[in-house]
Amino acid sequence: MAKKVLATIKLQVPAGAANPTPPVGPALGQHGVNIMEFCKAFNAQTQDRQGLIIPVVITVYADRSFSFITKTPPAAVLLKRAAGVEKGSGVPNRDKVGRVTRRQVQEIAELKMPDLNASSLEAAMQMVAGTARSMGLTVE
Amino acid sequence: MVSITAYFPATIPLQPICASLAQVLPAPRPGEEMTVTAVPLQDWNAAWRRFYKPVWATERMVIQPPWIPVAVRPPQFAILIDPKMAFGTGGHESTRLCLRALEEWLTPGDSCLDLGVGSGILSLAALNLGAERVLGLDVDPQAIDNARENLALNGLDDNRVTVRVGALDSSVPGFFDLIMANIESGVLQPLLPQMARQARRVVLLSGLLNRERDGFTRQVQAAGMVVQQVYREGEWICIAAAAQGGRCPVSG
Repeated sequence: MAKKVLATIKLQVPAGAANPTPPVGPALGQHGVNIMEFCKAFNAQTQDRQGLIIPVVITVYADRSFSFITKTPPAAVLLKRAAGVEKGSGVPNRDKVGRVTRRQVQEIAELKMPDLNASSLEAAMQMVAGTARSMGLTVE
Repeated sequence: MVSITAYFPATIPLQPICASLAQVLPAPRPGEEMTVTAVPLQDWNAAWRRFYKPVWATERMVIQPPWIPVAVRPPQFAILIDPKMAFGTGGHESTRLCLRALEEWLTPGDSCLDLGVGSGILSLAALNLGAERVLGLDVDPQAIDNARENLALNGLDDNRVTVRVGALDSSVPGFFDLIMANIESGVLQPLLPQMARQARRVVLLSGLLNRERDGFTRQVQAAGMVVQQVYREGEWICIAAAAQGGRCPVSG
């Protein structure tokens, strides 16, 4: 019989750098999960992606055991890295903060493909380009 | 309804962040609001404590919450762990694997180095198994506090054992019969050469994933050690490697 699910928690955590402070501590602590064990497992699994933010979905079971799956980094994080900018624009339609090439958009779309609800690479690229524009990056 | 929580260090002024968020977010509808709450530092693991149960790591040793009685008869022994914000409560595969390896590789009278001492669980096991001298290091002061508490809890805070904040660097002199480290591959890998130089007999490496096995084994061999045994539970492994520190001259 499948274990009873108590809660599902979504977090974004720096790869290889989970520690028991917020957001991990309070998010998991309130459900009675052993935080240190989650950090150990998450860091071991993601240490090869150091420097990226990894979305993670944690399932907590009634006996307080847990499992988790990591996702690809958010498109916005990958776009900022590709464009070499620290942050997006507060007023994206007016103030442009940088640019990314179609090639970079394609690379990000390919990486994100497993987590995107897109039927083709072309559709995925449109999603990524949309994110780029909404943060004040020009796609060329 | 979706609620999003973002945490910021208390040192960052929040006013500008709230202002720019208000700018980019659509106007709040009834019942939607942005609130700021101060979250004091606390022991987030406290809630989990209620679910902490005794764990038999091997047939001989049991990890025991101080508030739950467990019957042991020698040569069995219990390691009391009061879980705080430090790793090592017996529930994790990497801890159990390392405890199992320790039981097989430690010889009474050994001197041991425990890298990443955490809750103190491995040092406590080593002392129970007859280690003569144990040095436990951790980069996290919270772990050192917890390790000291647990040593006292077990009545083993005697002159055989020292725990302090630190890492494996030039401040760690001399040789150890056994070096154990339950950390992770990325942290352990650069330390392998120094471990090989300072371990007289055996190095126990835990916190490794099974998929890292081949690559990490090569690193261990490259550092001059010989893999003796690989312990596995689920996706985790612990490697026991023979070292000859202090016996053969090491160049470089």
